[in-house]
Amino acid sequence: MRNIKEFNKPFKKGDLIIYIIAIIIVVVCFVSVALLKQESYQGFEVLIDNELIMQFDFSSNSAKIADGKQQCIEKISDNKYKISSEYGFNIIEIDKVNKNVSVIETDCGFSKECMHMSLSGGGVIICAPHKFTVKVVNAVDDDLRIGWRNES
Amino acid sequence: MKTSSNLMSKAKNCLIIVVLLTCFLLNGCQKSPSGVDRIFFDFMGTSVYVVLYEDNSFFWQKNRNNECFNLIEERLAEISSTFSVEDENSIVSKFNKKSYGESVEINSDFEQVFEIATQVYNQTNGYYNPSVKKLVDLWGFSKRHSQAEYVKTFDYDRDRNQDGSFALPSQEYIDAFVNLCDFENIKIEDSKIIKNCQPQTVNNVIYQQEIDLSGIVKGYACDEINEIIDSFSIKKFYLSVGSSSMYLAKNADNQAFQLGITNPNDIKTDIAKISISDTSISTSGTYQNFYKIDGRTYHHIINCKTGKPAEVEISSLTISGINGAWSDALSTALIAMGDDGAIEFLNSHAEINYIAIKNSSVSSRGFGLIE
Repeated sequence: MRNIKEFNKPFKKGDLIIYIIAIIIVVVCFVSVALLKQESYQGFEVLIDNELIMQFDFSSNSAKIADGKQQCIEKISDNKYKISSEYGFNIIEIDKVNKNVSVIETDCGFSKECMHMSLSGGGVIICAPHKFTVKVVNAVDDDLRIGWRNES
Repeated sequence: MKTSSNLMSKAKNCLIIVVLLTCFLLNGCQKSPSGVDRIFFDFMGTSVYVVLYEDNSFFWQKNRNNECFNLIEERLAEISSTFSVEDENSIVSKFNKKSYGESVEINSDFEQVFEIATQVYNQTNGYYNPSVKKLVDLWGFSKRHSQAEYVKTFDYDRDRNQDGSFALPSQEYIDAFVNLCDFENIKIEDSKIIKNCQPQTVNNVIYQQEIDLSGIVKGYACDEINEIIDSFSIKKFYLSVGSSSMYLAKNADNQAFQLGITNPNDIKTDIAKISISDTSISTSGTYQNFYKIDGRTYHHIINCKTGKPAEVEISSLTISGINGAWSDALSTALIAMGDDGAIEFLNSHAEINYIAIKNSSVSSRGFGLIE
């Protein structure tokens, strides 16, 4: 009789606790992994010669200058920054409303190709003469574009 | 004993639940990219951009991606040192400095690219022509013409106007430089390239034949990088060489990419969108490098038979075919042919997928247009 009773009972109190603890462990592990994998912000990065110069976070509208790179950046206004290097300068303008950025002035050449690029199409702005790039952080890269530019 | 056996059985059940739940939850994770590695390289005056979507959570995966990037960097340096017209020591530069009858040693990269160039030259009846370089320079479309400080270097150079235009070149130079477009007589013997085109003299100055293979090398670089990435069994990636040559494998979700085709009338927007995967693609256009004189447009794609900018209404032509190098060369050659020649060529080559934009209207074959 005792055995039948035990059989009809799906869980003992102690077993239930073990199951709950196991589920909690799995959920906690999952959340931790997910959080670790998630980048800390949505924004863009400015690089010169593949070296990080500046990050901009659209969620807090704040800029973070990479360590030791303060001399490369001059804040012209709330949404304009001049980025200088041994190769030349590029002035970027940040559109906080549309979460976009564009180069508005540069001394890279006569045709100034980088001024015609936009993060919204292709997720990257490249100024080859200055080894200057602006790229989206956490880009989905579903918005790629091919087109002819005067590059070489 | 019974109690102990019950405990064991429940512990096993418990383990199974944990494993199943973990598998289920981690499977959900895989649907979003767990790692993206991107890198830029300088390459022959433009940028190469490589994006890998394969998982890089563990150190060995990160190492694999870094090793892949290192090999790409080395390979690009090799290609650049062979073909760059900026590098004085490249094979192309050495050839350009040689006089009639002289030769330069070549390597396997040069041999391969030259072979493809010759094939496309023959297929397009000479409209793809790497020896059009002097004509491009004559019309003011070399890199030196777009520098902030443009310095007149040759007798045929004209002043650059405020709007970026140049006065038209004299017919004397056009005729002389058309004669330098003698690509088919360039000889390759015993791993050497021999200059076999008579020099031209204008106003007592001697001009030698020069070549520029950059119209095919961007596509070739796409092919070579793709091969390196493939050797690491990486399946989710894309790469671009400049803005006009790309290889698109699969995106982060292991699906096809959506690729916008630049609108020639507004280059910050797309005129069409295609779905594309596991394919190299190249584009050429007349809408970015041009100037106007008396209302007439002069663009950078020169018809080597007339010595003048091609008379064409197709403003953008995007090609996907056998490989990147071939597509790159062909997209330029077809615009140089002019509208009728390009349409006839495309109609007789059903294996070529294309998107042509003429007067804002889009015609295409073989691509899945999304919008």
